[in-house]
Amino acid sequence: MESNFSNTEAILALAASDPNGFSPFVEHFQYPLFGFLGRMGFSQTDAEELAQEVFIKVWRYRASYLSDKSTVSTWLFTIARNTALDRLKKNRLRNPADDQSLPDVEEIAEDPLQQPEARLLQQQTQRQLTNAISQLSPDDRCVIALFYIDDLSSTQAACVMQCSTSAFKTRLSRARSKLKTILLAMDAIQ
Amino acid sequence: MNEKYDDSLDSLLTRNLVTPPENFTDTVISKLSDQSTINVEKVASYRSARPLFWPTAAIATGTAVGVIQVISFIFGIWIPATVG
Repeated sequence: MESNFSNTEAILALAASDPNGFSPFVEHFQYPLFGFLGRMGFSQTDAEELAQEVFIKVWRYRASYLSDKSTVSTWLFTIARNTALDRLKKNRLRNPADDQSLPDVEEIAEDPLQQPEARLLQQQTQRQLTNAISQLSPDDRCVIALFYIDDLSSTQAACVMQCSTSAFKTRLSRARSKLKTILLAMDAIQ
Repeated sequence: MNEKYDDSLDSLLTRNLVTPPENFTDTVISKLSDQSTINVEKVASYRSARPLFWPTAAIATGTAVGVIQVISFIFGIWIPATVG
């Protein structure tokens, strides 16, 4: 991810009069956003659809950001969180027995330089991870997914979760320990 | 950047489970451009419908007044005649 994209540049992209001026914003935030959606347990197809939805909402409601005192990334991930939680709720209503949208092995991101065996092993581990994530509550998934976004501090992540930083850290610790227990039971980690 | 835990779970979670497709930015921008065009078309169609509003309103008001007059006429002649 480019680190030279400042909050001011993000605001300038939001203030653009036509969608083409918004492209640096999408270009920059697509990677952390996909990272977030992947850790929320969404498949590649669902993540693409949701990421598009998030950017469209950001563009449509960009005027409301100007009255918001948070940073652009906090605002963006608040929209992303709400969109992701809505989708999880809809999935659960549509199919209560299987509310997770687990990715197919072929759908998981591939590294073309990897050996086939290593790639297969990685795909298996990633599938186990996604499976384990899907066993967590939506809020636990959110806490973990937000924590691993590189340019979002714990304070900003807490702001997205609408709780204090200390509460966020406590929730993160609990969610991580739940995830670890599930993964240990699956033999995915040692 | 947040402090990490540096354990096996950390190394799993820092991997990307999903990645944006190559043309993702173009797809989003073209969707936004399409939506802007649709919005402009919608605004134009609302404007073209506006001149029809006043004649329709005038006809509706005229009809309502006419109906009230007919009812008043009937009651004005028929009720006194029946009572008488």
